[in-house]
Amino acid sequence: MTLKTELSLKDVLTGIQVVADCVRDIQKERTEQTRLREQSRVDVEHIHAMRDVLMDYLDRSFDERRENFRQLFERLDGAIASDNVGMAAAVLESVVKLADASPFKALRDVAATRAALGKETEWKF
Amino acid sequence: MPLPLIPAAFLLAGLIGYGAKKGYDGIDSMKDAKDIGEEAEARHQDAVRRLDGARGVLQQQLDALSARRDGIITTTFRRLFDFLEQLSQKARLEALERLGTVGVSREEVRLFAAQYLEAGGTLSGSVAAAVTGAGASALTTGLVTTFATAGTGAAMSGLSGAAANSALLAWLGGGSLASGGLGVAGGTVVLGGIAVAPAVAVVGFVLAHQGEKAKTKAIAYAEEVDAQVASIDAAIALLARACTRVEELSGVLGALDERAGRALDALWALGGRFDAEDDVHLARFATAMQLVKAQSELMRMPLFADGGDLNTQLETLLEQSRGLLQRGTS
Repeated sequence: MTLKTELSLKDVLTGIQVVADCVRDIQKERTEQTRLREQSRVDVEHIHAMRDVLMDYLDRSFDERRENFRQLFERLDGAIASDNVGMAAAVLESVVKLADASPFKALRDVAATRAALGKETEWKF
Repeated sequence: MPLPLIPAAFLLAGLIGYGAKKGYDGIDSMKDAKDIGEEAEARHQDAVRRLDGARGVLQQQLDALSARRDGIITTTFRRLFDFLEQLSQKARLEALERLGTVGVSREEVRLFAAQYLEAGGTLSGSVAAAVTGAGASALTTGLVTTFATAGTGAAMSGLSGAAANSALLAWLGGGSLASGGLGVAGGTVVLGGIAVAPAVAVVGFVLAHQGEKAKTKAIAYAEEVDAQVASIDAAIALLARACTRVEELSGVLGALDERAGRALDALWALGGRFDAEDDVHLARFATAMQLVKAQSELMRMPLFADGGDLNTQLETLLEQSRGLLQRGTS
């Protein structure tokens, strides 16, 4: 490759233009990098916060259900011991209903509500 | 060397030095970009491994539940049918007729009889006719397919394999992450027409710019990975709660089975003296039947969401949670 050892004014101006463009673009890139890092922090924090809310809801639900099941079985034992068939049937129905009402099913409703709220919804009263 | 050229030489040297420094910075940024990309990739792979582990734990729980279900069908259900078997036809029919008075319908009896048969149990013709009012072959048509189907073994045991290939992993596994383009930013620099010193300076700046661009791209990739990893962590936490749900159902089934076992013991203790007109005898029979009926209903219950097989339910659940975790809505 042969290199020129003398600079024309046009070469100098072109070089200055390239350097100026690079300096400007480097600054833009750094600004974008800062924005991306901040966005990442916000996004991850948001996901963690939502996860915590979700898990707290599920944990509380399961705790409450555990206690409800305990009470139901207590009553069931009483009903069986006293040969109260009607009471046993009613309690067992409650056990099945409680087991069927999974806390996960509520997630569907929450998700649907959120999706609805996110749309351009025209509220009518 | 003529004096006026000395400042020019310094300027030239300065330009070369500065250009070289900027070029070095650019190469350094490209290296940073590569490192950022590789670290992000490693974080993602680690998250996917942890997710696989969590899914494995859930699979074990489901297998245990499946085993418990099979155990209940082949022991508790069988004992009840064996008891019916040993009753005379008259006593059997009277007992079944009077079940309605304690809230157990014939259709419900059909359902758990169907589960029993589905699990490989057998009923004698007279018992089958008594509990169903129809041929035993017609029983299976009434089966609810969710839990019962999973309980046959195929769907449950297939969960890991099927789920691994499902859309579940498409978002959990970060399938959409593009790995190309990282750390590649060199580009070509044309030297022609520009003298050495300014050329070094210009090339240095161009390299520095390319380096920053590569770094920006790598950071954007890492940002996407971090959000994916956070979502995967949430999915792992959700799978842990799915385990809680399985444990809960398994616990309730176990508690009912314990009581059903005692009720069946009391029933069998009557031996051949069962009298459907005797309130105590009938109460024992009704209690055993109600407990077994409740177990039967629990076994047909969807674990995580309505409808679909177990894998679809879990997928739906994870999809719902992903919807909740997403930032904002569009």
